Amino acid sequence: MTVTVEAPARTVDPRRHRLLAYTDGPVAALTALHAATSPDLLPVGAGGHSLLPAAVDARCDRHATPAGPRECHGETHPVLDRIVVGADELVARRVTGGGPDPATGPAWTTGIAWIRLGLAERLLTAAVTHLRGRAVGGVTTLNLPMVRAMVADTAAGIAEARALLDTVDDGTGLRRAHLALDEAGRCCLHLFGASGFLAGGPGGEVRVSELLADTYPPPTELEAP
Amino acid sequence: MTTEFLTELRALARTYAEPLRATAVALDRDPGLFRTVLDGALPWRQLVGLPAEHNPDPVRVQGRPVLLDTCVEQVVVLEELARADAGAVLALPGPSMSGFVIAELADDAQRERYWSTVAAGPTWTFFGMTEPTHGSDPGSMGTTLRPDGDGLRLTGTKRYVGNAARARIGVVFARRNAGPLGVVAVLVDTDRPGFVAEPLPTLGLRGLQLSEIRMTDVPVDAADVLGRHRSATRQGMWAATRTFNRYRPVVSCFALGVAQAAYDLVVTERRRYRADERHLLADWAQRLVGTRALVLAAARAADRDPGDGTLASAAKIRATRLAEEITTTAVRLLGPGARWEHPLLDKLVRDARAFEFMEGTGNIQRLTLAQGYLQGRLGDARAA
Repeated sequence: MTVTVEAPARTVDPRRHRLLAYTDGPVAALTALHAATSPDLLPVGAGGHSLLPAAVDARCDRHATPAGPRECHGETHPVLDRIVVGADELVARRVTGGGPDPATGPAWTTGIAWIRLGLAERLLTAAVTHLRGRAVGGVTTLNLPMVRAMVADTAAGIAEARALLDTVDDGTGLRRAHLALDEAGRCCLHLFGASGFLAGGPGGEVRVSELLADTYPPPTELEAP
Repeated sequence: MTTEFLTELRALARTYAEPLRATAVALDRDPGLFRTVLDGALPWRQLVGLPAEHNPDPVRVQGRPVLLDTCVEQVVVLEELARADAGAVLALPGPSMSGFVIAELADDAQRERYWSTVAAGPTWTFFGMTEPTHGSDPGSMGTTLRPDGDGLRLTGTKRYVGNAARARIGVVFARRNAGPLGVVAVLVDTDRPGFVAEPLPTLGLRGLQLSEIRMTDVPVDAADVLGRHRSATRQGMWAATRTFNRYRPVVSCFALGVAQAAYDLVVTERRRYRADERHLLADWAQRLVGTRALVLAAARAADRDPGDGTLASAAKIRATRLAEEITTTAVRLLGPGARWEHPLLDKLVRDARAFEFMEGTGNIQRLTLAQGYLQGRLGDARAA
């Protein structure tokens, strides 16, 4: 096994990935996060999987392991799925022996949480735009009190996640931030009705966000430093 | 305030809370015993937000005096006290909500009158806004302040007012003119003729002594009207809104303290868990951390701009829901008859229900939060 030792990841303010996720979606944000934290490296989650934009995935000639980055040497990691996001796609792989890299993993994992925050905010903005353009019995759907309650519950979940990410100092906060974003995403998706069920619609980005959390979870209590 | 500063403040508050934990169940049964708390080990004068001139020996953290005059300090300290006994914290004498109104509206003479009364001894105050048939809706407010000869007369009924039955002084909101700008805040001594306040029996938070106030032609001077030196847009409802915005993070920290207390009780009383119960406890632990972060963020926002209650509503929604969920589920985790075997748990279940309606119900908070979000006041990515 070849293990390369490299300097710790550069310090990048993860908030910028949130903004990119909000404005341009998951592919742009993941591409930027990867360039900032793990260039040429296939980040691998604790379960031994990766999920990256196809163009980024194609550039990686090393993969992360708990012992540090390892050269791929032409080895092909099995593709589990290809998920279409707009004009792009994400590639999911099983990386046998792979896992979070001690040097770059924490920055990647934290960045994923910030990207998910931006995606949740993007989703809620889309929901509000959607509901402003619809009416029930002559009343704009967004102005129905029960609809506003769901907007509020989503916003509260996003606010909790943001408060945690602004102050997070251990795995517990990061894990809770992910759960709050999971709940907010599901709650918000109800506001789209059937259109949220289309793979190409907002539900597709919620799926990507949930898959990112599943693929790159923060360390558990036992794994946290 | 740094994280280290707040961590030290929290640890100090935890030591202050110990005597409250010991008396929680007894006080719930007999709120009259509260005097013993005030006479005992709780340094209440340092914990209720008295201004520096009336608090010569304040709490000190890292060498700095802590007057508990910021929302951030309050939510950190009061959560720890509420974790021991939320009813006792709400029963503390001192400025509570009326102090916010004084800070916003009072002139020098009113300020001196208020604080010299409140700091003279264990003195309770009240914030009289809610009315029996229309809550806190200013448009429907029925309490009136009308001219009578050289003075004014206050008439109306307020209900669900904490500590009013034992208060010496407080603030009553009343309609002086039509329209939203016609509501004024009045500084009222409770020994005036025509002023009657009686406690209402409640299911929980019995220390708070929720009360009904009935006022019949209570004589009021022009000097009692708060904010009379200010413009019409900076009077009663303006101050009330800012007070609610500042107090909602505090209510949230009370709910959080109760939720944490129920979690603590389960962990103390139950030794062995099924796998699904372990997951439930882990989920609670995480939600407590998340809600605490949100409450602190809301407190910081309230200190920055008391005119905006968006994040405060978010904190209150999350904290009250968590308190109700953990307390009621804790009953199931501790087995049949848990509410008889664990009187403290029964108290926590009853106390938790109060936070849902205090300073606006959950549905009202949702409407406020949704509106605040739609107006871009959550500081989310749209504004970044």
